[in-house]
Amino acid sequence: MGINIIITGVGGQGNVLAAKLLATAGLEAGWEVTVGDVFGLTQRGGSVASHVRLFKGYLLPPLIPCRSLDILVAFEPLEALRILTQFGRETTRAIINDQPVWPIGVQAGRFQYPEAQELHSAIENLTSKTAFINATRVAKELGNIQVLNMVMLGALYGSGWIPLSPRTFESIIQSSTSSQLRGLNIKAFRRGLKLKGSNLHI
Amino acid sequence: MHKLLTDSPGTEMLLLGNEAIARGALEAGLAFATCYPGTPSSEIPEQFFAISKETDLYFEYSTNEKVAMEVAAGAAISGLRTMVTMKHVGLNVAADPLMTLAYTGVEAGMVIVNADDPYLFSSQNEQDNRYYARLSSLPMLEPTNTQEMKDWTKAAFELSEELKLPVILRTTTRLAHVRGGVKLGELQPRKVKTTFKKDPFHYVCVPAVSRELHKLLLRKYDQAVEKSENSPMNEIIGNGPWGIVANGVSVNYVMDAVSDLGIEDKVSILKLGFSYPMPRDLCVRFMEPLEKVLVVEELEPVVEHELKTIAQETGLTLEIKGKGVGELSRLFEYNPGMVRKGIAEYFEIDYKAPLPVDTSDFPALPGRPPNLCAGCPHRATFYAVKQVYGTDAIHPTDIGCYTLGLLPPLSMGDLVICMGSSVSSSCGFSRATDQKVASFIGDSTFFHSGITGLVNAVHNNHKFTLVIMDNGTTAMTGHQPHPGVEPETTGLDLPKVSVEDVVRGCGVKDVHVVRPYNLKKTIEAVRASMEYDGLSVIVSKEYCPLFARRIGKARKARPFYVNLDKCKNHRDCINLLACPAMFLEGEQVHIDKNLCIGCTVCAQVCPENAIMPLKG
Repeated sequence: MGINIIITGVGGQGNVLAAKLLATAGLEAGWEVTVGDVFGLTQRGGSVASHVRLFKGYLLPPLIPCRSLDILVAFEPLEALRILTQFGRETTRAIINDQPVWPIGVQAGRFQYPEAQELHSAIENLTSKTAFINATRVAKELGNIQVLNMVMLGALYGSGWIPLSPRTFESIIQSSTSSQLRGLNIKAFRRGLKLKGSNLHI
Repeated sequence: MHKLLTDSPGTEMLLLGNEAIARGALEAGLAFATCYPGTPSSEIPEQFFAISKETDLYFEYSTNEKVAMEVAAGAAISGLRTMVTMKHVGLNVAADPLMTLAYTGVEAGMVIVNADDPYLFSSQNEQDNRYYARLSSLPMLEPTNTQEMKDWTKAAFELSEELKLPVILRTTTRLAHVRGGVKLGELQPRKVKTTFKKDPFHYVCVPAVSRELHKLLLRKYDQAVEKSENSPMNEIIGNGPWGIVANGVSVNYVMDAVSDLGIEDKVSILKLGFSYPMPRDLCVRFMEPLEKVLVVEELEPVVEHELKTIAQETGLTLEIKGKGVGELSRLFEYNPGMVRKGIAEYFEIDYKAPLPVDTSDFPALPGRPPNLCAGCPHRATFYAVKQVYGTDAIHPTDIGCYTLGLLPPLSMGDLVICMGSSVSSSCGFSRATDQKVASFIGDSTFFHSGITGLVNAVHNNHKFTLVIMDNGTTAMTGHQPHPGVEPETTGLDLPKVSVEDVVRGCGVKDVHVVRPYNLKKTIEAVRASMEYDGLSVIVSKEYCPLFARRIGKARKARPFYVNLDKCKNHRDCINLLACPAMFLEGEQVHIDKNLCIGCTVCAQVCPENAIMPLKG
């Protein structure tokens, strides 16, 4: 028994820390956990994906097999589709921050960023349920884009798709994030939790 | 207190593979650690660097891997438990001491952590360093998960002390960067001072001594074989007629595949954790009852060939295969799907791999290639050199963030092979051709292996320009210090070795020091060096902006914007510099004020002076 989760985004968005905290929560709740971070030469501005595997029994390898993804948490929609084309299957569910971050080639006018409509329908094709949210706006409203990762994790907990308690997670934020951001991180996590039922169409 | 100093045995902690190794070393009473950083090994010394500030653990960032290995050897031969860490290509640099250190052996435990990089996530090659164990006759351990990375590091110290030999602990990127639960053990006290006992017939490797030491090494090797035969790190799992042999991360892929394919009753798995010397008798016992064997090992067919040798010598005729089965090849890293398919194909199991997603209806997905950061001073330096040298000159470059200068539009990079090669290869290029040569090296790489090449260039009268891009840190691997850093940036009272002094000390006569954000002066210096009939060095000094922010020395400059009243859309800014802070909206270039650090370089490039600082 296990759950395969990928947390993906663009380097610098805080998705690696999100994966680490989620894995800590899994471990504390008595699951076996592995996290494999996949990134290339650059961590800033490159595609980054963390494979988080929660399971009972023997240790699973740090990479999720192709087309075996249960839950996708994407901080950026293009990265969501990139992951889904490799790992998505009929039962995959996804929470996606629908705020594009343009790759350098798009900024320089050499490539096109996919049209929102096309991107959404491709994503929906590869998932059973998808919630597009605007976590960037929530983070900005809270005054610091750095808490985007906590909003996303809040939305994941709020979805009810993972067997972990939001209350325990708040104590992990308390003990594992920097003292300056701790308070704001918890606020952001709670805002994420509440995204359910408003613009989270789960 | 550093989390790895948590003194509560039995607690389970989520650790990165590299953190688990550091913890294992602390549990073994590590007293002395050295390294040169290199992905994917860098997080091990990062822990030691922090811990050395709050305990009596000695740690240093050494100038290169050879130096790190020799510093560590001195401590281990004196009698301190010692660790040295490096990436796979770092062991090439340290290969010279490694080979003869195997002869002298060590007094206290010495563990060499070697991190291989299958798929070349951040390396110039994907060599398989299991061959170094064979080349040096030193034992090698290959853990397969975070718990073993901790436990076996401790075991490696004990093994090293029993055999009086350094032990190599090999990881790969996939293990170094995995996170998993680790049950902590007890922290052992450190012995941090000792007395060296003179023993020239063991330690002074003149031919007469080394002839005896080579015999001693082979005797130790035989002892190591015994230990490997009986080690719990080598384990047979299951008792079916189909054999699978695996090492490292592949063990996990095999276990997963076997369970997924439902063939637990049909297979016997040999997990090779103490992978060198190979446990020969164990391999024979393992293979004897089997129908055939599949070897699942990333990179070279090392175990496959050794098993075939063992089978031949013992008259076993079963089939042994590895490379060439399914997609199992000598290239890149393995993954769960590939291993599943290989096992299914080899043992003729009915298995349908999931079909890849049909992406024909999907929009094209633009990639996110690595790029120099917004405001990176390297961009300015490259731009200035390009303005002067045009496109015909040869630009050997080196290993660091600035290797990315090879990407368009800068396109500054004609050869990269290894650390320091920019300087020495320039000697060859400038003699062999009539083309101008201007090469690039970073400050940390210069100290690592640029200096010997520079001395060579001076002495042999080579004519080229070397640009040393001094950003005050080892940026690429995560901002580690090096001999040239300002002491205030490390929090340590260590003397600074000035790049410029070293260059002059090597005998270079034409030396220029520039601030690359001042394009005009930088271009003047580059021109002067090109016109100089001899060897020139330009030291281009500016902090890495990410590092500057981290140490509280970020530029207090306003971000810039494109004044649309003045912009005539030449697009020199985006076409020549391609700073990630610039973006096109329709046909118009804009600057993202959240990314711009106000380096002013694009404002100096704009022919209309249309790029200006934001007010307020």
